[in-house]
Order: sequence, then structure tokens, then C-alpha cells
Amino acid sequence: MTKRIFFNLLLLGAIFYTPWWAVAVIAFVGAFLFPSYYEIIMAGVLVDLLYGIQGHMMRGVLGLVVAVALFVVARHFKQAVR
Amino acid sequence: MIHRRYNPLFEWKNISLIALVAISAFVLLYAPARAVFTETLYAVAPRVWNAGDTAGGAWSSFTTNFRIKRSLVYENDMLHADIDRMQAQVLDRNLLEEKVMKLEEALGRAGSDNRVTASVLAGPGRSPYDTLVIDAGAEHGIAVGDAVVYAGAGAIGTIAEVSDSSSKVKLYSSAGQEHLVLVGERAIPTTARGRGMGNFEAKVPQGSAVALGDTVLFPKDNLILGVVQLVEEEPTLPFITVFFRSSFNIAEIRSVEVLMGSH
Repeated sequence: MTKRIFFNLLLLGAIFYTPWWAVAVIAFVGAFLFPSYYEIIMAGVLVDLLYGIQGHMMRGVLGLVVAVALFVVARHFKQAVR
Repeated sequence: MIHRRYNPLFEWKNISLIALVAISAFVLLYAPARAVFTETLYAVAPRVWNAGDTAGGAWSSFTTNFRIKRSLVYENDMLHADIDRMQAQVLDRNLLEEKVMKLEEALGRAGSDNRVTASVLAGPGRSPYDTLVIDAGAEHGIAVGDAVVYAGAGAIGTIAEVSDSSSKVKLYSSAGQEHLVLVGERAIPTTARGRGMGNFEAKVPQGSAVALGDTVLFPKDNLILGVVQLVEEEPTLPFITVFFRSSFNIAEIRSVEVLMGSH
């Protein structure tokens, strides 16, 4: 649980201070390491609220769409390697 | 005895995921809900970015004291940023002369604009949206649609969302954005298409006089959108493709000016 909290703080910091692709990599690692990593969805929403503009680039839900895609891909990847 | 077929979609985990995504989509797509959440977030976010910048600056100055090489690299980066700014200002000076002459002809027309200088909190490098977040908002009189420029006349974008003390800027170079522009000394009118991170593409008729280094302007207020970097000419095609980009690195700018009431 402690690991998960630290990882969430890392993801939160990444959203504010690192490029978007680094956030995507960290989020994917989180979705792979932790079970039911729904925090990835919240991270996607946070990216959209912080940087997105409604009606611009996928109607401003790019972060959410990418988060769901990463979550699904990580889950399938996890099933494939375990 | 009835056996219900197992459907993985109705697993508890999937139901909670679908519910979470549905709520998130509602928050993002329903404008009033999005506005409330964005406003709440932006009550805190600028402080987080400022704290990060302060910490980053302090760490940078601490390490440069001990590492000569790193301090030289840092100095080099700063000088590059200054050169970018000066190049934009030189272009601005040339246009200014022309502008003054036009103003003198128009006698009596008000020439001053109302500008607010703002620091960039987050640039397009961090954002997947090709947007800038600046630390000036409704409190400073900024409104949606105001033009944002760098170093006086380098066009960057327009204000797309305003909070009390911060705003989001939609870059002119955002992928798919189209703008009417004038290319080169002969001011050839055409439509420029954004390609992201300060890059644009435009098509002009075959035989048009366009050269590397030509400036591309907005017709209305003479703001400089970019400088021609590449001209692709195919004799079999009826047009020339012109690639141009901002005269400064959009990912490295630290401050911008908002032209209030320019929309």
C-alpha cells in the first residue's frame, strides 16, 4: 500500500513537472505493477483539466482516452506475461 | 436448472472501471462541470508550478557552483534563448517602421495596444495538447480570444480558457489549425496549417516569389507567425509547399504578452 501511495505521488509530480510522454510511461508502469490501477484514469482527467481545452484535440478528453487505452493494454500485457 | 453464461463485462472490476470512465467523461464533456473542476484545480496548480520552478532554480544554481561544465551549458542555453528573442525583435523592428508609416498616413488613429506580461507556467513540452499555461487571468483583464505574442510581435496563439489568475493559450501551430497569412516580401495571401510545436505548412501558387528566411505575417495586425525554413517545389504540381516555423523555440519561452481586447 505504501509503495502504491509513493508511486501515485510520483505520477502526480510527473503530471506537473515532466513531459506528457514521461507521464504516459510512468502511468503504464503503474498499471502493470499494481492491481486495478484506477489512479491512471484520474491522472488522465487531471492532464485534461490542467492542459486541455474543451473542443480542441479530441474534444479535450485526450488524457482520459489515452489513460483508458494504457489501462487496457497493461492489463492484457500483464495477463500475457504472468 | 438455468445456467447464466459468464460475461466478463459484468465482472465487478469492469463495472467499476466503466463507471469511473463514465463519470470522468461527464466531468470533461459537460462544460459547467468541467469549468468548476478546472477552476478548483487552478486555485492550486499555479502555486505547484511556481514551487517547482523555485526548487528547480535553486537546485540549478546550487549545482552550477560546483560543476563548471554544467554552468557553461546553462549559460549557453540562456544565450540561445536571448538570441531567439533578439531575432524576433529584429523582425519586429522592420515591421514597426512600416507600421509607423501607415499610422502616419492614417492620422489620428490610436496606435497603442493594451498589453499584459505573463510568465509561462507550463509549455507545450509538458502538455499533450500544444497549449501554454500562463500566470495571468481574469483578474488582469484577460478574456477568451485575446492574442498572445512573444517579444513584441511574434504571434503565439489565443487565449482559450481563463481562470482568475491563470489562462490557457491555444497555439496557432496546434495540429490542424488553419490561419489566413501573408507570405514573403510580396505578401502572398494563403492559408497556413499548424503542424505542432511552432511549425506550419502553407501552399502558394507555382511561380510565387518565396525564399528561405521570408517572414509570414497575419494580415490584420502584422504579427509575425514565422520564418520560412523550407520551400518544396515540384514542377508538375500547381503549387509550392512552404514550411515555416516560429522564429523562437516555443518550448523554451519563459514570458509572453497578452494583447487585451485584440479579439
